[in-house]
Amino acid sequence: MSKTHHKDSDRIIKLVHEYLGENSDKTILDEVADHMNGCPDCYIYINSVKQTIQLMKKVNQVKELPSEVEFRLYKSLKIKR
Amino acid sequence: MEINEKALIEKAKEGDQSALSNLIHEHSTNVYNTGLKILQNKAEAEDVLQETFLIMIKKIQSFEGKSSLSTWLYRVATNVALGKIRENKKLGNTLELDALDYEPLKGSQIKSWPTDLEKRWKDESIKACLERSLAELPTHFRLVFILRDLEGYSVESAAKSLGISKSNVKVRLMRARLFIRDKLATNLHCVEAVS
Repeated sequence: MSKTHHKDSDRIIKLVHEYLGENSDKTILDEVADHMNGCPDCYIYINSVKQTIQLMKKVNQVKELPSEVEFRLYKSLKIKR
Repeated sequence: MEINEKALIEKAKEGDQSALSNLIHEHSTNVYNTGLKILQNKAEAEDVLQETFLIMIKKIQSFEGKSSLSTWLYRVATNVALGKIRENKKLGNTLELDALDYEPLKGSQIKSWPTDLEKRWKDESIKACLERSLAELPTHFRLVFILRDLEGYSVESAAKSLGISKSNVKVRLMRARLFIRDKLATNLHCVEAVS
């Protein structure tokens, strides 16, 4: 942990987790932004969490339904493709 | 909702099999992906796919179009998938807010976080890392993470869908984010070490 990691960091991270993705008021956003400006560890940490979420959105997704899965789907529904 | 889809829905309500078939074709990939993401299992995702469209066929008459068909199908698929987890008793015990605390920062992993991940996510090794990290996440954390962070449910909706309190959603979500981020950092270290 770098010397710039503040005592306040755990509280800020708690705030970020509380509000990440939820609407939060400007006071909280400003406080988080101010803290991150002076705390490289928090900056990297919070961005890495955001990045993790973005990357995970791309996991386990097929671009197209496999043809054999589609065949079984229509068969089970008794509908012609 | 697109005009074309509205027309297809109306035709499907009248029993037009071709319209029904087109609607299924249009939405099947998204429904399958929903099942796959929640259950992490292709066979179970296929069950979700079939059950979701069986429900659609049964209920299409009463579909009023208040939300888009894709939103409606997504909710149905999510509920079917969650039902499967409940059947298999994969949900685990309810976690009490007081029993969990926020994890401290992990300095070594913060500094080792790769900066070019987003550019490299298509690499097979990175993809495998991401999938492994998500699969390693315990189910009761994974569901909250998927519903809230990946699918954009509000805390309240996620709580309702999972039958847990809002504070429980928040705690599980934070734990999930930290778990998956740390797993990813560890797994990526393995990739970096062998490449």
